[in-house]
Amino acid sequence: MGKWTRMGCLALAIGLATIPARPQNSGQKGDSNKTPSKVRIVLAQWNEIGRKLVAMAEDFPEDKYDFKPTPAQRSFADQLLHVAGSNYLFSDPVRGRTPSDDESRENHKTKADIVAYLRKSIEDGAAAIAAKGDKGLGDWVTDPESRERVQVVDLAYGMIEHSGEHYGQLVVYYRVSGLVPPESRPKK
Amino acid sequence: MMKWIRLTSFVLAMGLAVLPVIAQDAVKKKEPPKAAVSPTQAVLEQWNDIGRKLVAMAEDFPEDKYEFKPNPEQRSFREGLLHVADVNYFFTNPVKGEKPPAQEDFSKDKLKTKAEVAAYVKKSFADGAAAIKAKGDAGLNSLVVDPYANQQVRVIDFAYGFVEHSGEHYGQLVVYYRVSGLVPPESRPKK
Repeated sequence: MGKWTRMGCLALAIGLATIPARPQNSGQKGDSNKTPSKVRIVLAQWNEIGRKLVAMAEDFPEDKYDFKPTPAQRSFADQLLHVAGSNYLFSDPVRGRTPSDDESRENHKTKADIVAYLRKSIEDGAAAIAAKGDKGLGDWVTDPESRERVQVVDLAYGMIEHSGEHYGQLVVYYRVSGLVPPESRPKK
Repeated sequence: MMKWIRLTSFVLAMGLAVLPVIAQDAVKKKEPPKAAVSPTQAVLEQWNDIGRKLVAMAEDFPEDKYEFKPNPEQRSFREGLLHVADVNYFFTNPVKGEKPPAQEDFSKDKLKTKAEVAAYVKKSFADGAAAIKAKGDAGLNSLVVDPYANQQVRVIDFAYGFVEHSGEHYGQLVVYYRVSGLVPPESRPKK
């Protein structure tokens, strides 16, 4: 029964967060839902990893924000700032702007500052994707990191994967701190 | 300057693994943009890059630490790798027109040695890459039913969903390395 109920991140990312898992699993092979638009799918994945990161940022105790499992690693706060700043390496070029990546802890001192900056970076990215629309996702843009010409859709997905890597790291930061990540708690 | 030298994984994913990061940094602002890559090439680069990083870990991590987990509630290092590899077949099989696996984590009790796990992780990414390649640019926009959601999705979006999933587990294993007192392969000085 439980075989389809895990890896919820992917199902959610495909935009089905509002559809209960069990009815999906009832197995009617022929009744697959209508395909969402391209932009909706990319937005769903962008927003889903963003949602999970914001949930962590809001949940993690502020007095542990400078925690790092080993001295060589980024602190919890620095991980979030890195993700947020990096998001602008997508959103700014897509909007025709010079990248404005700011990961400085000095400029984001409190938990509230960091949560707000992370949330805004995700919202700005989502707005950039939405503004492009289905057709604009195929526009070409220069990746500011690699200088390759890539389509907006591929740059967006690259940044989603990047966020996923740091989200994965923070999952273990939670566990090493003796805490349970929000996504691993029983759903209310 | 600093803002250009981070996000290394993403640069690598875009196919620049052979260029030293610092050298890129010195010249990129003056460089004209490189030639565009095809959609298939772009997806494959990201699929293969996260695969490469996971295989590198699988081959590098000491076998006597393969059952390490930072916390009893988590998967072991071995189980984390096998989870990624198993889940890849929920992408690859439907894209090839085959049934998805009957359940997740179906290899957990079967593959125990480092050699078995590393070979399987490598194969799962190679099989996924072959499925993407076989689709080609036009085929990436064809529809496939996501078995998790019973939802029709385009192959390209489906593929990137799994790339992100792999990225999350890769990120977890980065911290496993650090907590074990080891440095992840990607964080070591490039030879």
